[in-house]
Amino acid sequence: MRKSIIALSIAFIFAAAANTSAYEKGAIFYHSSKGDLIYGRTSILELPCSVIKAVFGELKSGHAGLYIGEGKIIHAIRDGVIETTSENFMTKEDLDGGAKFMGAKVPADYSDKAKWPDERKDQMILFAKEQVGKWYDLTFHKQTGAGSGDFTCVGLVEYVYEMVGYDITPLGFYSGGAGGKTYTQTYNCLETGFSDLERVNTFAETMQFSKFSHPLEFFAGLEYEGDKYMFFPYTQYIQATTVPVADDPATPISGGSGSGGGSGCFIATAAYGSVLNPHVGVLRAFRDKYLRVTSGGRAFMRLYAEWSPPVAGFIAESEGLKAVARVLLVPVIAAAYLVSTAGLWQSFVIAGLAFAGFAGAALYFRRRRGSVLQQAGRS
Amino acid sequence: MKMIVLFLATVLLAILSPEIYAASDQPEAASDAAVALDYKMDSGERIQAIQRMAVQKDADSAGSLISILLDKAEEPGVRASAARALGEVRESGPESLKALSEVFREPGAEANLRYTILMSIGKLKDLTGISLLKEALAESDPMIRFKAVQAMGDLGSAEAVSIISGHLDAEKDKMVRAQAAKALGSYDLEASQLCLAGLLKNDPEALVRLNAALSLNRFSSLTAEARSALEAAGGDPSIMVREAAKGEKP
Repeated sequence: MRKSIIALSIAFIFAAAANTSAYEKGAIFYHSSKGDLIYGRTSILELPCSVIKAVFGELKSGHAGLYIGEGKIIHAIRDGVIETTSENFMTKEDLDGGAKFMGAKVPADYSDKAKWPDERKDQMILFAKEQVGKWYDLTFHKQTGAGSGDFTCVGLVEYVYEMVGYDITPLGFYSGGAGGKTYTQTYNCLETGFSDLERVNTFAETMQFSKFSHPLEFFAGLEYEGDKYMFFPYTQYIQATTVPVADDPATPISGGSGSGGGSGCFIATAAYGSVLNPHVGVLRAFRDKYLRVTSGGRAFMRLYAEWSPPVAGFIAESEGLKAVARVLLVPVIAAAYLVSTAGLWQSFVIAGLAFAGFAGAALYFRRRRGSVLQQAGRS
Repeated sequence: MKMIVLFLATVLLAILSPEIYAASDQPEAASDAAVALDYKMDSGERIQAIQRMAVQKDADSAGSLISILLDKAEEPGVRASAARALGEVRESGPESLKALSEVFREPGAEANLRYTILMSIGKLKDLTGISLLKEALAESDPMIRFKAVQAMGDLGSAEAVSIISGHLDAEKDKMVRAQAAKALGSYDLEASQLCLAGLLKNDPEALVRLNAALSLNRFSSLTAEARSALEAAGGDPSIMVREAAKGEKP
């Protein structure tokens, strides 16, 4: 009896803990670029010309997204505004690059039912869902770029909160309130093609910008007193009116693909049960590095995309078939891993040496067995 | 002496000629379509080129966008960008809708690519797109139904009102019903007012009633049924619905 009570108590504590750690819909996910750093905040930056490379390549900025409940988020990434599982909030590349999950945040009065009734939170999610499918704002102009309703990651979060009457950025940050100053932001990068796009943003005077240097004269940035400043610091301000909520460490930091969950590796995904499985990741990396960039590889991918979804459907329905598929995939994954890590030609050399080793060993044992039998026959 | 100078000049010309030739033969900056189609380029640069094509709204670019969209070897993000751009290049003709429909029905098509396609169909304003949107309402993924209803609001086809009204009874997802209420607000018709009045009076979800009230207040003139529903909503348990019914911003 006593043991039962203890067991029940432990189960209750675990259930309660699980319940409190679940994120609330509307929570803002937030990660740094590296460690505790959000680029644009502290250092002088060396930037490549391309805005794309700056954000998604050589320079990583922090990132924000909106949790919409049931293990899903909506966030703006290079591909556009997408809905995906929360595991995809941070990519494997983010984690490998040292990015850190900074926790989930909500407005300070978010638990006040009078101020935040369920329908207000739901309406915010509805606005977020409406934006799914729109462009990423490559010009980084406040919330919407080029007047076409596209979003940066933070811009999207700000937009949906503002649509339900909550200003997530500090007073004066955009409005030019106390101490506000207008900066001219000129986008004129030859490589990006966003030339002669001039935007004016108003920020609080006290805001910290980071200086950047760049090999080319023209680049997106804020000109102020002869220096150029980068726009990224704006990520940090999302925190100013929010408070942290309990983390659910299992969800947003699993290092997903970042995109919408479709890996294209249909059979492996069915066999391993998730697009996030590391084995699927090996195949995905091989596909992106070797197949997608060659005409032969692309022809194979088209063929594979044609016949594999129904096969994957069959496999997904049976645990036995999944196990068989996993066994059959072992050499494919091993080969893909070898090629991806060692390189194509090196893999051929390694595979050739391994084959020669096996063949030599087989020949040796065969000859030895033959001579033993011969000796036995003589005796 | 002249011969020597002539000889030296000839030698110099011969040495420099490859550079001169190369300089004069510099290729012009690749066009956006060429960048978008070049699968060896970085995906981000390609998406950027596709975005510029969308901004230019040049109908001639539709062919390139369609070929990117239809190519199953492309990254879902690049294909989704092509789908999005097609929705903005409205003069592209029926081929765009055909390609969007084909990819939407493709087995294994990535979810966000399909959401983007539905949004683009709404933007295209090709009224024949309504049949695909209707088909999408039968899918199990609520986000597909949500985007289909949203697209119906954008499409501008009066047929959308009867399709949405007919679908609402079977729709269990409150987000889809709320979006349906928003979409009906795009059609200033008696039928949409009737449906919205019903939602405002009877829907169990405050979110749906809220959007029904907001939509009704978008219309310039109201039917007796709609007016009565708005008046009755003055006693709604949700303060946001009450405010929306009064025409105030909740």
